[in-house]
Amino acid sequence: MPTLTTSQTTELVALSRDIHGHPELAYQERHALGAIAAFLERHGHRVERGIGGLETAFRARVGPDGPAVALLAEYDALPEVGHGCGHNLIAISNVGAYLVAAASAARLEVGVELIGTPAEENGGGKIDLLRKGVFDRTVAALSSHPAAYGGWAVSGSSLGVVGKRVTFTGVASHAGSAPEKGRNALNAVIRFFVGIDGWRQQLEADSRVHGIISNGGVAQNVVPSRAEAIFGLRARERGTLDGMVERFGEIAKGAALLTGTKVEIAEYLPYYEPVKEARALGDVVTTELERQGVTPSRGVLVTASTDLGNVSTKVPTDWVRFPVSEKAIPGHSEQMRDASVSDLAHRNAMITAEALGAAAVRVATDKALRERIMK
Amino acid sequence: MKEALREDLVKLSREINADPELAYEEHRAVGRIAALLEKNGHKVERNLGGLATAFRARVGPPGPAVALLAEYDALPEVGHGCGHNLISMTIVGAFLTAAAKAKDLQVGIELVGTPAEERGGGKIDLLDKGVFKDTVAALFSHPGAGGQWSVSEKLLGISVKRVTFEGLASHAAVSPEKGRNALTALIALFVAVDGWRQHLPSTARVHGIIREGGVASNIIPSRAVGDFGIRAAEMDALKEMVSMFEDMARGAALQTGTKVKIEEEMRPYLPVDANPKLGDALAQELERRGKSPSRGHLVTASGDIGNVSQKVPTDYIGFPVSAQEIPGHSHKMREASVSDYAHESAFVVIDVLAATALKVATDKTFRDSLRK
Repeated sequence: MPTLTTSQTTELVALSRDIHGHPELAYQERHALGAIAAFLERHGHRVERGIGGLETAFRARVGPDGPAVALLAEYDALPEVGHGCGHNLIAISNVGAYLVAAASAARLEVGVELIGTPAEENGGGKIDLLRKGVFDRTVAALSSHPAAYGGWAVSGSSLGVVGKRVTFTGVASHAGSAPEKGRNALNAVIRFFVGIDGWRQQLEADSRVHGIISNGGVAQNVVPSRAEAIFGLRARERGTLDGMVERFGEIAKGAALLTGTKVEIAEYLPYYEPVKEARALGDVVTTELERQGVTPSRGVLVTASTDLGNVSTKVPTDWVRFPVSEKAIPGHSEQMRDASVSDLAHRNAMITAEALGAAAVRVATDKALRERIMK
Repeated sequence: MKEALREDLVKLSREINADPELAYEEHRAVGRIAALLEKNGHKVERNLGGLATAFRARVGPPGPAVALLAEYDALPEVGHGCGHNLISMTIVGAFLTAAAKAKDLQVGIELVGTPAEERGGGKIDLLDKGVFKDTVAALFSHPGAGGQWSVSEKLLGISVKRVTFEGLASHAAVSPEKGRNALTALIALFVAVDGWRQHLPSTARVHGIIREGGVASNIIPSRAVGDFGIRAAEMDALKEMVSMFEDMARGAALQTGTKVKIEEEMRPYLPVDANPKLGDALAQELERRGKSPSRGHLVTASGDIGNVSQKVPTDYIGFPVSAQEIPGHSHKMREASVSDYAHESAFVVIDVLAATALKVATDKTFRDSLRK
């Protein structure tokens, strides 16, 4: 028997569509925050906004003061493709799970919190919240993520990622009448991309390097004096990633030498850690999913990255990965965006909400289980 | 020339220089030129070819005519850093001088005001509207620096292409195998152009920028856009280069499994094909006034006078605004374009252009020799 009522489910789907229809970039998710807060307040919960000094972070809470199980919602979107990562579904599955836990409020030995975490796509809101001590008294963290392909999964691992901004500086000149006086910074960026393309042959199978050109000159008749690229680097292990970052820097310096330009590398995105498994917590989530008639795989590597990884290195953490489409579609795409408001997506988000809510209640009502998880 | 007219011409040059207007918006410059022409008894036909800031004045019989081409648009930020105020002054001065001496003209002499040389190409609009259909010769001037006089300069033709690659977006880490990277295609095109440069004539140019290179590093770019300028000294070479460039863009699309679209970012400015007989006449008149012009010097820039030169016998005088070298399109050039040195040169240009226009309009043998 589902804990969520039909009217709650209907409202959650409407909330999902509302967030989906108003995509907002990292740290600017004001509409999403307003919609979620209004929903919670309608259901009798107080919403603490701006936690950890982040305008679009929030918290709601049931149960006794002190330690708590945390359900983590996300709601930021991507540039241009909008909700091509389906964070509207992360929002409603965790809000729904919180309502499920709230229905058992009287039995809770520790609190259950819903934490709204901004900027997963760019910036890492959870890293900000960790630094501000928001997870200092968290006994377990639970969350979810929609999947563009594959089935249900629990305890999935992810890749660590860092973001880098690489800026080359050359000398401008008229490209027609005085090209010999210029130093072409865009040429350096292009040499750099070609260097990366060759390097890829030597990377470990699950490592990734991927970039865009964020500044490629101002007018075709002026030799570009400044050009800039933004790159993500990913690997399964921190040590591998550190080695990659070093090699990446050497390729950039080589491109500068090739073109007589100068290069500067800056951090664009802080390190997102790989998600660390918490086996005992994963067992609970798996059992609760099975109770909903779903059989998840365990410990699958997802070659994406999330700031949930940083939470998992401090607090026992697990997450449910649920499909939004019968057939495989590309992530971060318009197809993924459209699939994220499909009936299948909403049905699976509600199953996820029930399982996460039940898992949170079990952790919050079983002292022996809590000790096993935290050990 | 009467002293009063000399003063009016210098005043016109200074006023246009001090009040810069961008391409197709040169309303005050045209107003000032028209007022001076009307003061000297000429009727001014406005809205020539449907362009608000193009105009024509004319003397002599109807039908074929020698055209003197004026420019008056400025640049963004540096204003009259290209000295078009001097082109206006010399062409208006030459027309008034020729008109005052006109007798027994066999063909007309026209002053044609051509807007938007710096951006857009007003002369291309006027060519398309048939304004130069009955033109027997086109004469023009352009300021330069370094004490140098020239005739029959060559300018490179330029074609500017906007190349758009379309691929497929996908998560760059989770599902890179489902994406088609449009940025990789654009980079492949740049690398191909770099290799191609080894085989280009030393005067040819290909130069590009990346306008759109993706939106976020974790999304495979589904769209990438580059602008490329392609320049050559000869029409045939330019056509061949454009065709080669388009093949390369299609090759880059094939290499990356993306689609490519190639568009004109601006209408081509064709290379200047100077008329040697007109060049001889201009050089002779300059030498008579103590100036020794260079002939056939290549300037690796471009102008819409090239398009006129491909249809009509055309030549122009390059004249100095200073004894020292000055970078083009600069504040220094703007200031030098109202110096006494510049205006002194301009009066020589006026006399030479007027004498040459009269020669074309009164000497049938010479006129016929232009189109041989």
